[in-house]
Amino acid sequence: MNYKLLYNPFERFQERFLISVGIIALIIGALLAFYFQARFDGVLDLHFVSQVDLWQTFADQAVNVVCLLVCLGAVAFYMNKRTRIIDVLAVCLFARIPYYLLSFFNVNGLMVKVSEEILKDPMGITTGNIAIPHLLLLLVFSGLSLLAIIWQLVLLYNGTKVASNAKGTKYSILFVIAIIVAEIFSKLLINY
Amino acid sequence: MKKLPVKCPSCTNSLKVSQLSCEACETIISGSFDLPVLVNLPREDQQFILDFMLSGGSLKKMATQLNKSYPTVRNMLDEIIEKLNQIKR
Repeated sequence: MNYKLLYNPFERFQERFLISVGIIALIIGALLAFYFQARFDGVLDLHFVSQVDLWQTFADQAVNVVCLLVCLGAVAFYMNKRTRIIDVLAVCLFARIPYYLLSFFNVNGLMVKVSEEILKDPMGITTGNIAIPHLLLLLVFSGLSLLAIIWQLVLLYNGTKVASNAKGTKYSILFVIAIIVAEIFSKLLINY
Repeated sequence: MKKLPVKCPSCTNSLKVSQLSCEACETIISGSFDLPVLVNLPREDQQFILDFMLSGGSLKKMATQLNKSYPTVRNMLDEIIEKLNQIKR
C-alpha cells in the first residue's frame, strides 16, 4: 500500500476526482451529523447537541469549507500567484473527510448522555467518582478526535503546499495563522 | 547511455567541449565550445523537458502521462525553470 496517499493524495489525484469525493463526503458528513446530532461549529470543532436541524448541519459544513478556502487561498496566492483556486477548493473539501466519521460517537445520543452525567458532578473526574465506561469512552473519543484533527491539518498543509508550490518556514507560519483565522471566522459565522 | 559529465571532478567548475569528431570520416574538430544550458540539468529533468515538448507543452497531458496531479507537474516544471535560471546566472 502506498501510505503517502493517506497524508498527501494531492500529488497523485486530479482536482476533479478530489472535489467529487470531497462533495460526496461533505453530503454524507452533513447527513451523519444530522442523524447523530453533531455540530461541526468551526473548522476544528465538533460538539454533540440534543437537537439539530438538517439545514444547520449543511450550513456548518459549507461555512467551514468556505472559511478554509478563503484563508488558505489567500496564503496560497501570496506564496504563488499562479495557484489555481480549484486546487485549493479540492484540498479544503477533501481534507475534512477524516473529521466526518467522529459523528458516530453520538450513536443513540451516547456522548450527550455521558456529558450530562459528567456535568452533574464536574469534580468527579478529579475525585475518581466517574463511571469507568464513561471515562473510557471519553478517552477513546479524545484520542480519535485528536487523530482526526491532526490528519485533517496534515492534509490541509500538504494540499496547500502542492497547490501553491510553497516552501519553507514562511509558509508554515502563514499556514498556522490561516487555520487560526479560519477557525475564528467559522466560529463567528456559525454562531451568528 | 553514459552520463555526460558537466562539472570538473577536480575543481567542480563547468566543463567545456574541446573536441568533436565525426564517426563516419573520422574528422576531428578542436576548440572551446560551451555546453548547452539544458545539458547542465539532471537527466530526469532533461527527460521531463523532452516529454513536455512532445506533449505539445500541455501540463494536463503530462499529468496523465506521469500519473500525477496537475499542480504537482506544474511544480516540477517551476523547479526546472528555477534550476535553469540558477545555471544561467
